[in-house]
Amino acid sequence: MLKLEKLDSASHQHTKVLPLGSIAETSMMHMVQTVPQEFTEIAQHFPIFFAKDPETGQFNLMALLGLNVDENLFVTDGYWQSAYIPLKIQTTPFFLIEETQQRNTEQVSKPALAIDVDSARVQQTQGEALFVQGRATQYLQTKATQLAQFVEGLRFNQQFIEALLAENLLEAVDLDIRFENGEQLNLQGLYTINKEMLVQVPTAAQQEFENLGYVKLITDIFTSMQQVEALISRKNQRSKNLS
Amino acid sequence: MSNELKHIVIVGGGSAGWIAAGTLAANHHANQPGGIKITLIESPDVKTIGVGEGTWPTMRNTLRNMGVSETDFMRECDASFKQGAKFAKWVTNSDDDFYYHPLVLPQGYFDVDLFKPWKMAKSPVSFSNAVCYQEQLCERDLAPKLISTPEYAAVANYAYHLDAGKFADFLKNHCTKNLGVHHILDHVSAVNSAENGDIASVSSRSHGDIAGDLFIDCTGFSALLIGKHYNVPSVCKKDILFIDTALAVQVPYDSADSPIASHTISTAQESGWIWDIGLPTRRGIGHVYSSKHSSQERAEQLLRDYLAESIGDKAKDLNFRKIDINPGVREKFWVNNCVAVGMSAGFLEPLEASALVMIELACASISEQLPANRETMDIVAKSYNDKIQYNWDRVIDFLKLHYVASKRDDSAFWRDNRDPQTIPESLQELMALWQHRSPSEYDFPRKREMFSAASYQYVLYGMDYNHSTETGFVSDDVQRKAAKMFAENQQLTKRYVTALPSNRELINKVCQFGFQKV
Repeated sequence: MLKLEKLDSASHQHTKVLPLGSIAETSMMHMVQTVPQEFTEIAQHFPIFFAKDPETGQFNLMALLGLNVDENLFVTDGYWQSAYIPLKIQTTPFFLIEETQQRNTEQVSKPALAIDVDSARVQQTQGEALFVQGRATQYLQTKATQLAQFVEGLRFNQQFIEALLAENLLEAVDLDIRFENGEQLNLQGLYTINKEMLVQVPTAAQQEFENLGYVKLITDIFTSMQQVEALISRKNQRSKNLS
Repeated sequence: MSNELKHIVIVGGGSAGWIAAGTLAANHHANQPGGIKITLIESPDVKTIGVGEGTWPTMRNTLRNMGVSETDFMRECDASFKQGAKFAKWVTNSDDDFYYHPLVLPQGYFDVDLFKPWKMAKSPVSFSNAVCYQEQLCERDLAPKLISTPEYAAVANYAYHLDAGKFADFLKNHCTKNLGVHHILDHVSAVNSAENGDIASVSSRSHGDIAGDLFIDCTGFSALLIGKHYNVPSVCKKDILFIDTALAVQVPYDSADSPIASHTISTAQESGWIWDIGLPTRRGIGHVYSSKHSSQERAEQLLRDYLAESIGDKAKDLNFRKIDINPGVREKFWVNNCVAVGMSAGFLEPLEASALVMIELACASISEQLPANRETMDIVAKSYNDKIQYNWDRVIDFLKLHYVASKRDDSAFWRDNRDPQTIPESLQELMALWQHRSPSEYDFPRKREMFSAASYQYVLYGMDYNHSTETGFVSDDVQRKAAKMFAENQQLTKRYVTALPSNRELINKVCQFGFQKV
């Protein structure tokens, strides 16, 4: 569970954050939200799928990290085994929260930087400091920038997804996998873009897709499908190492 | 060819008229050139009766087929999920007397008949609970699916409860905006015959004569075309189904987060029964009874007593709306180029929510078998009449079964219901067979039966029907299969009870986020 505290230079002046990968905290994460700014890199390492948020039923864009719930095939002994780490994970243990303030008669909400104090990486002895002499460190500023990028990417994703849904372009993926050790797996709950429907999109909408940069994203998503094979190989390798 | 079927005129709005319009318009491309033209004329001064706030699971297909979004439908028709019916006090009238007729088929239904193995095990677990997980979902007011389940798809089979008035308006909007149905608000003042006895046109007050190739009578009890014009009589069914009067009321919830039951609750009374249907914003409750067996005062008192159990003193001040029910079925449904759908075709008491499903079935049948021209219409009409008559007979049998299988002896109503003279021969025969074996698909030979043998099993064994003591032989193979099915059902029950949200929670999420199409 998360325990978020709004960051401020007074209460977090001694707070330090250990580097990512020093602790096995994302080893159980089997998928992570991904944003367009990183699609090119993501597509070189992870398959990109659409998946529904279980709480709202709304689609998100996800990089697949494992083939089972609670399985991350890119983390071994706490260390990331990939040349690229998804932006969302790079931003941990920081989060953006909506802070509501009373301004005259209006409720105004604005984003504020927060930290998950329950993360084992957050302590006071080792790692990157957040504030020096009351001012945010370079490290913290970088994280803030990354978070802003991520949130902006999510907003872009929602428009992208709505456009795809309007043209009935999303379809459920039926992935039947047979591993080297004979185990079988039916992956459910993942969606992708229907290629046959894509060519039938009316010209006006196709132009719109081009103008808004959606064509590039769709290409990245299709490119990323190669990584399904890579994931299966990782899983086969992991099973061999265990036995 | 001049007598090609090109224009269908539907007389009357309401659920029947608009389901007919939507089904026919969607299947026959009314909004495209070359499609069949569909006109619905409804009188601005006829108030539609909100009949049947419960549907069958078939409604999901009916709506999807019309191109309706489930999210829009649920939001605009004040709809909630329905997973079957709970029948309280129908068997012995004791306090713990209840059983369920769920919508999910018994586990392994097409593979093994679980009745005998269940009976032989003499387990304290009810038939419904032994073979199906849905009763446990209903008892906990849980929803039949998740917000991430695509629209119209189910985890547990489901139907709806809905606001019938809003439903007709919703369909009207969809039919006229998206499906190309022509809507005329006008009073039909005359029906004009052609030489061959067909209806040539209907005259309207301000839109002149409206000609058509096929006329669908959706004018409700007034039966303007099939009754008044063609004089086809309605055959009274009161000798079988005694209920002829309803007292209805709407009751708000205590708070915005009060649970919404995900099943219809039907509680038997001295001379009838009380329905209790949970919509997102209110409960619809009513007492249907036999006026021959009960005075209106007594029926009102029993309804007030029932309401007081949940809303206390507020029950004293409520006013009830009285509705007459004339159980009856038209002698023929399709005559010449006129076919009756909805209450003009027939109407029975609301037990098992058969009103809307009979409309859906009629519309699907007309649409699928739509004659291409006048020459072939009589052939279609003949088979249609036969099929629809059969369906009404099956509904009557199934409704009557609920009364015949009862052991209640506390009033003349229940005793009279078991008088063989009031029981159709077809039902008597089946019940004689079911003394010795369970209802099977072979008992219902038609392709699209209203009620499957599973429904009969749920009702009979829920009502502890006097099955003869010798259960006969059950092979080891069947025994093994059955044990596996019982265990699977237990596992599914456990899994779904934890995974599914409450009915209220899911309905709130549908309003907030909506279902995805995929």
